[in-house]
Amino acid sequence: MSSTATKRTLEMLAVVVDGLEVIQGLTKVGGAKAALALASIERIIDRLRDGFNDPNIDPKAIMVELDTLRAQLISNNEAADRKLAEKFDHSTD
Amino acid sequence: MRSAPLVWFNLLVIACIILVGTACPNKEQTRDKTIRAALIATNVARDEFSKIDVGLQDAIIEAAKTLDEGKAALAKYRTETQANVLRAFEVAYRAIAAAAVLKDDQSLTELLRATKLLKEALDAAKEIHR
Repeated sequence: MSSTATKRTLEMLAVVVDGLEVIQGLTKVGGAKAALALASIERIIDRLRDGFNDPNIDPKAIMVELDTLRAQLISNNEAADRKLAEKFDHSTD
Repeated sequence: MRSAPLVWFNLLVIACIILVGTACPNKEQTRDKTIRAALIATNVARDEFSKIDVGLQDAIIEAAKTLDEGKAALAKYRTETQANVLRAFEVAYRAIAAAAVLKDDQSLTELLRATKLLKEALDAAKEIHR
C-alpha cells in the first residue's frame, strides 16, 4: 500500500473510531466503555483483514454535512440574539 | 400539519428498512443504495430542521416580555431541544460514515437505529412548535 493510500485509510478509520463509541453509546448497544472500544477495534481489524479498499461513499465528506448543520445553527443563534436585542432596543455589543 | 421534507424523510427511512430487508443478488449494491438513501434523507432533514429552528427561536422572541426572559427562554431551548437534535444528527452522520467504511451487518443495524433516533428527536422538536 502506498503512503498516500495508507494515510487515506487511516483518515477513514479515524472517522469510524470517533463515531462508533458515540453511536453505540447513544443507541444503547453494548455495555462498558472499554468493551465498546475493543469491539470497535475488532470490527475495524476485520475490515482490514478483508482487504481494505476505498468505500464508495467518502466518510470524511459525510462528516462535512454535519459541520454544515453546526454552522447553520450558530448562524441561527446569532440572528436570534440580534432580533431579541432589537425587540428590546438594546445594543448587541 | 407535517412539512413536506419531513414526510419525505419518513418515507426514505421506510425505504431504507425495505432495502436492507430485501434479498438482492448484489448485496453490496443494496448496501450502498441504503447508505446513500440514508445520507440524502438526513441532509433533507438537516435543512428542514434549520428552518424549523429559526421558527422556534422567532416564536420565543415574540413571546418574551423582557430581555432577560427572552435570553433565558432562548438558552433553555438551545440547551434542551436544539442540542438534543444536533446530537441525534451527529449520531446519524457518524453511523452513515461508519457504515460506508465497515462492511458488517452491525453497522447497518446501527444506521437504522440512528435514523430512528433522529426521527424521534425531530418529531419532539416539531411537537413544541405546535
